[in-house]
Amino acid sequence: MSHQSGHPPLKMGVDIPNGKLGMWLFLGTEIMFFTAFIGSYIVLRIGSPGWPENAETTHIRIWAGGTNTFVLICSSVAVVFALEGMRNKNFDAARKWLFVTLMLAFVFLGIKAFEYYGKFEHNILPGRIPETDAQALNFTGRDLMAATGIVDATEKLKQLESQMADLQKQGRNADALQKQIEEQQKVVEAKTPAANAARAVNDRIKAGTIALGLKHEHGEGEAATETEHAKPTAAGPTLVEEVERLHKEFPDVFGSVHVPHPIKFGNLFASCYFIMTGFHALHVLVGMALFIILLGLGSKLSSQHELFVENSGLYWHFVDLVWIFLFPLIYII
Amino acid sequence: MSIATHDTPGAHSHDDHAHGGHHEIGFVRKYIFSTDHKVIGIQFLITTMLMLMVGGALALGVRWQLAFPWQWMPIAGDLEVFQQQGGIISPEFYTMLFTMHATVMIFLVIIPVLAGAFGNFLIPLQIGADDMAFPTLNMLSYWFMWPAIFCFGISFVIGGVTAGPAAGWTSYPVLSAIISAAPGSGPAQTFWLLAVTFVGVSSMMGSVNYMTTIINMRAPGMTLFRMPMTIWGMFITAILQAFALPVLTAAGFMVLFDRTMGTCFFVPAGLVVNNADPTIGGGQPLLWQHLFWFYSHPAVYIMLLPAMGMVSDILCTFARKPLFGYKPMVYSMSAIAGLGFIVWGHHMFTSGMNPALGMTFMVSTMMIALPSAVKTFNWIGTLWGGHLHFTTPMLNAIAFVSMFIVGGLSGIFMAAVPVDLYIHDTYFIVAHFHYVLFGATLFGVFGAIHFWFPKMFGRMMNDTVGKIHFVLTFIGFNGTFFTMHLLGVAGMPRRLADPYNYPYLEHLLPMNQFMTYSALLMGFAQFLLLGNFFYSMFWGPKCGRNPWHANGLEWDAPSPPPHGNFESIPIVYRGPYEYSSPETDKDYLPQTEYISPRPAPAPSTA
Amino acid sequence: MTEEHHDHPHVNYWRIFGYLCIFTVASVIADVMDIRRLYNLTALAAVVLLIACFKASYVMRYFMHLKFEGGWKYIILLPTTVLALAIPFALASDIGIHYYDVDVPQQNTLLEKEMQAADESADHDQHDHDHDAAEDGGGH
Repeated sequence: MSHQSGHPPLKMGVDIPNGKLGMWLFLGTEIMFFTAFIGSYIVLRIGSPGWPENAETTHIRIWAGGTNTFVLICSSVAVVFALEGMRNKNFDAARKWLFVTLMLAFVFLGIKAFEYYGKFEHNILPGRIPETDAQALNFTGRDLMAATGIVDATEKLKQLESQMADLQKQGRNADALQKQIEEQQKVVEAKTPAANAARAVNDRIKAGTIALGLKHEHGEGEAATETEHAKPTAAGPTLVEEVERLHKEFPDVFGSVHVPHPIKFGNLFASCYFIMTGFHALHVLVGMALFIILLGLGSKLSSQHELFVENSGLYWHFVDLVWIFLFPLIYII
Repeated sequence: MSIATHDTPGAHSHDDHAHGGHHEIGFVRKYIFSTDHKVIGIQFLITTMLMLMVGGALALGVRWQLAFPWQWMPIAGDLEVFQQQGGIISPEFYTMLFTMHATVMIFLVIIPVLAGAFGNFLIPLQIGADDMAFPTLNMLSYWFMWPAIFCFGISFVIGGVTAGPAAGWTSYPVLSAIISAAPGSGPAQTFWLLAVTFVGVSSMMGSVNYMTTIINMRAPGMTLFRMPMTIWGMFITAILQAFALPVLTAAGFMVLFDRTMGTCFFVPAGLVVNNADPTIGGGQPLLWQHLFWFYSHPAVYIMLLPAMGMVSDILCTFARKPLFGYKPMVYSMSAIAGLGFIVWGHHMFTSGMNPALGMTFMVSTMMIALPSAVKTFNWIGTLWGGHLHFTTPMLNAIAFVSMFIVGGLSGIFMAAVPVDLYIHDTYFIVAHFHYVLFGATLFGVFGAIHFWFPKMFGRMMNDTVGKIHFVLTFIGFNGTFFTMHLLGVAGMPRRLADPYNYPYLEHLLPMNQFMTYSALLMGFAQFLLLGNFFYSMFWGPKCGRNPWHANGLEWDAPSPPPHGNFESIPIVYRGPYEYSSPETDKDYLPQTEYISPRPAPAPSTA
Repeated sequence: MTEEHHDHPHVNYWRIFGYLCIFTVASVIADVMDIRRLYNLTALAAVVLLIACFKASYVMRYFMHLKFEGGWKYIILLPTTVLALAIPFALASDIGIHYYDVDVPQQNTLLEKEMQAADESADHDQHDHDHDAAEDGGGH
């Protein structure tokens, strides 16, 4: 294209490719996306009368967060070298560094998964953490009843019986159904002893005559405060002892039920923790998908992919940046 | 660079171009999964026009209940689902009606019609680009609308007619965060939140695309201050959308998880709703309001600024005058956008927010009146002494200005905390935002449809039908919404299925009936627009490139523009509003016309 | 488009990597030193967030090559930063300072009712008080 002098220049705007400009603008929107989560966490935490800060109760391990920080920094360096390789037309080196980045991303997610596993193990999940002893009692009672499965079994029996009644009204053969009902009755009977034992404990919980019995080894005021509701009239075996007894008597039924440790303000903490780290992990996955696409090109990787590598790198650094702020906010403060 | 691909000089028809420059593409790629910004724009336009009818029908349902409470619904009452409840609108259904009316109108009509339809169609044409920066992303942004429409649709039907999203479009927790708070809203509200997320993704893709296109793909000579106001409006809107919307998406995820996964960001501890178990954890319901309005207040400007830009273009064209104060217009638009980010708290004066913040937000809100007034006076200044042509687009554009003045002035009432304490959540508020969103934005959109229709389809719309549509809509609109001011001052609250339960509101029934008749008139007038639109699309009289004798770059392309838009890259020598210029005999001077010997005169600011 | 990259001054990425590692160790040390107990939580937050800002600035300037980019970086990033900071600051002055009471009065009413009911049933042992209490609670 030729232009006479005095005419305007051909290219308007900024001197970077559209893809890169778009990526930076996208990262701007991403910054706002994480700002909403991190900002909410900050203000909720400031606004909350307390916060579980003891690593023993929250299972927030600084070594895990620290290692992950280190892993992400390493991967950031690797992706920078991958871009350098692309720019120097050294595509083998670029592929090598991309592969290193991808592996480090796997390491990051592995450590993350390990942390999540610990949280699941101790039931540190939003909505499932009792914040007071009374809630711990209620949750355990509810879990005990749920473990017996008696409610569902009885419900099913009732359904079958009402079907039976319908069939009999219509005067149709109901032998098959009769057999089912008998089987279901057996199921209910089998569940009854455990259910009765659970009910007995549950009745004591409802009557407020049972103490939790957990030793507050974590102390420091973060563990639950005893509510006046549950403490005073307690006599006899504590809930922990009862549950241990049930474990022995019905190991198959109640094996999975544990008395949870109350964590004051633990639900808000778990909500914030999981939403921030969860969405961060989701971004890690997206970044990994980008690297897998690039590595999938194999030897076809060439100069035309330089912008792709650069943009993936920018995205990856952004993921790193988010973690750089999440690390102190979650693991240290 | 993509800009260099269409440098073949000389004119050739659409078909030639499609066969010559590009390999042939099938019907599906050309009209359905198209990456051409014009096709996507028209797809957005038609989708939103259909959604406008849906949203309008929902509004008429609301109006029916307010005028004839607990009476058999015409048409819908015959449907089987309504038979069980006697063909009337139940309170739950009423709640769903106003929730979905607002949702459909905001998320599926106004935002996509401005940014999606006109943004897509006009941005590349007006800046002289061959397409958007990321055509595939553009296509995706349209097709991400459909999961949203689908989820909104599911939330309509999933629980039968007595159960729908019941938390209003603002979806305040705890109403939205605790399932038992709104009986029957269960999965419907969840789908509603999902749909908002999809809308968010769609808009985010769109806005990144628009910003990149406007920054980097302008034609040679198209400096920032030679861009038409429409582009400025779209650009600033895209910025607002890009930086405010992610916050809503994030907050939407949080409330979604509160609802489904037991998190407690917005649920206070120990709340008992509808005999359900007390909630555990301890979040803050007000946090949602802050996050929501951090997006939704800028969203008000997202719903207004592009229309302001388009109206500026229309007014200049039909006043045959340069825009009065181009740069002040740009600066005031930027000021509105900037201030728009720091005024969200004025929606929360009665929420129990820290009064010190209320004071701050009051002052910043009042300040928005300044740039708004600058714009209004500049529009009037543009009209002053002009050679006015009262075509349909012009009439709609003038309606925009006048209705915006009414809506803007009532906004200043509400900005003051003491006044707002009285009128908060009354029909005064409803009147205010309908004057801005319908009175201003939709009239602007109607004007834009009539104005750019020739460019979209190469045919003219019928001017007489357009004028009848305008007059009926204008009368119906003011009949419906002006009265709402009076209802609000009389103390009638929003969102009540039967306000006449309260003796002090009984005397308002006749006024409500008058409003409903007006609304019906307005609703049926829209069929004129639809009819005119679809008839003219196929059978309207053909027009040339520049039927309005306008200056913008889009009028330099053929009508309809072929794939790739321009036959050769347009080169821009001046601003877009040089009407009645002394430099030429015509009363308009296109941006591409080169007048020697001056290479590039500064843009005129009158 | 590729020529422009070669006028980037060469960056020793390993050195940046070293700085980042040192900063990470520093923030771990801040945790181990227990600044929280020596001073208070705010001091700890200030220290580790400052360290995080330094780390972020290194990543952005060198890894993301912002140091070598044109003026557009300010246009994109400054408003974003301002907005990102505005949210927590504005919200902290409302949600953060506990202006209003987060206690739910309902909960206390409920508890009182339950305890009242428990007292009564201990005395008279005749009514189904749980039911009453639940209904009263829901009515709020």
